[in-house]
Amino acid sequence: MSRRETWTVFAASLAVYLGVGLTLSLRYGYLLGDALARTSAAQAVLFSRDPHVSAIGYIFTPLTALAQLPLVAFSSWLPAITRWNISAIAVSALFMAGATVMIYGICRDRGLTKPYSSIIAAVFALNPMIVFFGANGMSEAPFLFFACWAARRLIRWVHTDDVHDLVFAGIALALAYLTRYDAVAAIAATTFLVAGVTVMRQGRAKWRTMRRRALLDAVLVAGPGFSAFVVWTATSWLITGEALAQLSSNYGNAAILEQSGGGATGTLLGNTAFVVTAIVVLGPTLLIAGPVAAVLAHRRRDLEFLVAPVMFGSVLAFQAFSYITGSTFGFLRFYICAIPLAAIVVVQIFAPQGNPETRRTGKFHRSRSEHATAKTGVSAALVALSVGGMMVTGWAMLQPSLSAQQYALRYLFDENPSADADALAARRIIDSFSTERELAAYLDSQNLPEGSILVDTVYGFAVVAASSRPDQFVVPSDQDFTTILNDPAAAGVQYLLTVPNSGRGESDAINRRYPSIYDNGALEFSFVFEAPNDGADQPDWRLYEV
Amino acid sequence: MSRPRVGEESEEFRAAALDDAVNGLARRHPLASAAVAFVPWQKYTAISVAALIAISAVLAPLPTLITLTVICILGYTAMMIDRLLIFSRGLDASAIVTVTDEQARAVPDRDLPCYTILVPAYNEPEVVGDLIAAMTSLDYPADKLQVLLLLEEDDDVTIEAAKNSGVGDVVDIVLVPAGDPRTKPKACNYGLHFATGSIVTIFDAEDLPERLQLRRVVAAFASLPETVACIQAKLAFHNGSQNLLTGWFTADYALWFGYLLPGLMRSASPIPLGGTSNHLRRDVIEEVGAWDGFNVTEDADLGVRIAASGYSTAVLDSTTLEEANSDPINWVRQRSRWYKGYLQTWLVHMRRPRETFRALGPVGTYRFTLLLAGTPITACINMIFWFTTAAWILGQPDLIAALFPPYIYYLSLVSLIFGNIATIYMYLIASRESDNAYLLVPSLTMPLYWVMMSVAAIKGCWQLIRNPSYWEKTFHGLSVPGSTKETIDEPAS
Repeated sequence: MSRRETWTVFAASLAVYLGVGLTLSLRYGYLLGDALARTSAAQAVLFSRDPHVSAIGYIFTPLTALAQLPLVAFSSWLPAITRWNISAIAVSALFMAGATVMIYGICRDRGLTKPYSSIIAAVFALNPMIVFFGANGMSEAPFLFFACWAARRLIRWVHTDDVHDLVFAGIALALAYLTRYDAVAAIAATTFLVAGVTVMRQGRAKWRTMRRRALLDAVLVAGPGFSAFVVWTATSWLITGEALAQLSSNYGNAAILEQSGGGATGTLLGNTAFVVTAIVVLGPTLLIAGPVAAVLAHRRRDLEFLVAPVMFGSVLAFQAFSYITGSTFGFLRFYICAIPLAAIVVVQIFAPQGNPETRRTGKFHRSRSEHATAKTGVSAALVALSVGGMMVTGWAMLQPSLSAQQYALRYLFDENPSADADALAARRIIDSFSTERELAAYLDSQNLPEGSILVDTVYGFAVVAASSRPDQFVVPSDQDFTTILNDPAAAGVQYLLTVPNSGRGESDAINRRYPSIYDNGALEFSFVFEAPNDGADQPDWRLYEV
Repeated sequence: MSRPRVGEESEEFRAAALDDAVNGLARRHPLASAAVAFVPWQKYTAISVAALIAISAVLAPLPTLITLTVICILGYTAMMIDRLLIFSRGLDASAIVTVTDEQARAVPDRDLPCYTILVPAYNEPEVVGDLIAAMTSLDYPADKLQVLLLLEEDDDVTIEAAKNSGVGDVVDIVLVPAGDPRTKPKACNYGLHFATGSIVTIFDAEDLPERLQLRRVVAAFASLPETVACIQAKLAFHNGSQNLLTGWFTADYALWFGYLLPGLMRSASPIPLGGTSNHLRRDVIEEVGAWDGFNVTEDADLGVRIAASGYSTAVLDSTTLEEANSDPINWVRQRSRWYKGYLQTWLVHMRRPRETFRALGPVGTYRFTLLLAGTPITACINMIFWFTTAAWILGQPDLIAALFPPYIYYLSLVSLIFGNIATIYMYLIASRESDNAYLLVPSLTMPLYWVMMSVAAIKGCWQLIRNPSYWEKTFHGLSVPGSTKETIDEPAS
């Protein structure tokens, strides 16, 4: 695979994702909360009134937010970068373009010709779910890039036994962990896979002699991920006192789940049905291509086939298990791994041609045996299948029952919205954070001194991100936040931005300190105004004066 | 100088050869010898810098400490980045020079050049007999191979053992006249006067070179450019699984010879030679001045001198098996000598910094400093930083917080965590690729090895100032079951 091919695929995909992302954000104002929250965290590292790196936060792993730092650095000259989430969009676009390059690379490693590789990569890249998540700044994009990179390297390693492939797979998995902690499942599963493949390198009879080497290979692939886990957990513990903040913190997953009314509410069977449906609509080709590829791989004695199901399948299984047992939300995006899985499984149906170039062929490398190339009819059928799958995904994304966060896209181009419930709800979703932007504009226009407004970032991240003067806010990442919260007047705070003390608002620090502040200013602070929110799941803000 | 047959040399010849062995290099290239460890300007510079630091420490303690910390961290980071770069270059299969068995055997015997093997030995009665097996197993025509066993003339135990083992039938025993400094390079220089080969190499008495190594070297020299003056073979240990220390040492060598040296070969850098299995072109080493009798790591010194003279060294994929030190005290002595020698070598070649800069180029000089000065110095300083880190984790005292302002804190954190993990990972990779999966535990426990290295470095630096040319003798034969180890005090030079 030449450099020219890589850059062409990358540039083309990047253009698509950036184009879509900037349109959604600048033209329609459609931003996603989790992405905007990360942008706000990155902004806090550089421009809050107490800039420090640990403002990045320890609830979720930091890579997506850290990746935005270079762009966020320019936001003091161009506030639009954070207000319209441009830094996040740029990051997700870059990474999703990278994921496309990896899928293209997997095709080329398999020996597919340029035209077929381009088609399969295009079907992946233009998948509506992939386009949306390349465009919206969420952490799915970097995660998919690292997972696809790891998958590509491991598929190569199965035949080359090249230590470079093993090492880069390990590093990719570690970076995937630093992006989303679901990667823990992938790391565990691939470790067993690698150990299993190595132990069988000299055949079943000699497995005992290969035990040590299998252990070493397992350590090589799991080492970086394990180190990342230990370092991240230790850092989190040293700085915040909580080792696994995503689980235990008041802002963490378990707390969010409880405050939002829980994840899975149905029966075990009902939840399982949702999970299976989600996976099927995201990767419908799996239903046909999966069994076919499995049979062919068995006939060809091709271990490469195992990599993608193990890696992506473990993440899907982890998400499925979490949802069914009620410890996570039923979001379609959690099953996004089904899309690259489906793409790679399709690639595995084609017979392998040739061998990829290696920098250091391993001791147990095996040349792939030559097979006949697939007939044109078969290839065309697979392409048609994949395109069909893409359309199924697109349709699923617009169904409210399946796609609670994305279905609003259907109403994006609706100039004259109808009055039915779904349309109204969608309108509210699209308008999310518009109120927060107006609030930020109002506060900016007051030309307040530094540290004048106390706000928690549970909901307040959107206001801070939209403001061109983030230092006017006092936020929880400031190291003196608690002191100021206890006596705002003494610290020179003039205003408190409050949210209702219900649902997720219960975790808001201001509410926990002054439980009745939203209702009556805790009998200390005077009411200034209320800003009813146009967005969905966003609170009606009330400003109180100190 | 005409070369007499071994055993037939005259007294005058012996005296002249001895004198040349000790003082030859100093005579021809006065500043190239470590006979004097520090030249005056280096001494004055060192004292002035020390005084400056002392004064600033009194006047402005915190800024001084911060400055020193920043310098150290930048040094660490530079070394870490360079090591990763060199490792990634060396990991390529094409980095090392490979000669297949067919290519090695392709040269007919009559076209092979004369070869001289120098085997310096001192006080090693227990291993001198092993030499027979090692030399007879070498695949090279006997009439073109000259093996010189270099023994000090007053080393009665070894001479006796040599006679009894019958090694004299296979090799020529050269008796080096007694005299100080009593070092391996002096003996080799002396032996060179008897050498008839156009390729010269050194082996230790207990080494087990790979059978076709000499033939591979000949083939490699033929295919490499004229400027390649030396071919270094890989060194490895046969007793790696004896204990944890030998495991660490084996992993250490596996990384160094397998991946770092080939990587250095691919980068602009002088290559510090290994103690044995360095195959040198006779004409070139006579031109650059052979070995420095006063330098305790004469191999590293020669490697730098080769590069500074415009020649280069290549690394060959052929392994000589040695015995790893299995005793911690012995290991520390050996390693402290190496660190002392690295610093000696650096000081010698920095006597005329501008010349060295011109000869090696900016990148070469940078790497040379990082490798030869950086390795021992950082090993020493490590001890201080380990204590600092421990104190920080245990109590987070304010002094340490003050020593690491934000701009240096994150850099040092990254270099500490990432650097250490990356280094251990490199050892794991080297273990896998050298087919030594049993080195998994030693690789993972490397930090303890680094503690030992730090102890050795502190000892070496101290000795550099007090007793530069003192040669800490390494005891061999410790892997032979039932051998007795006697601690013999080496007389100072």
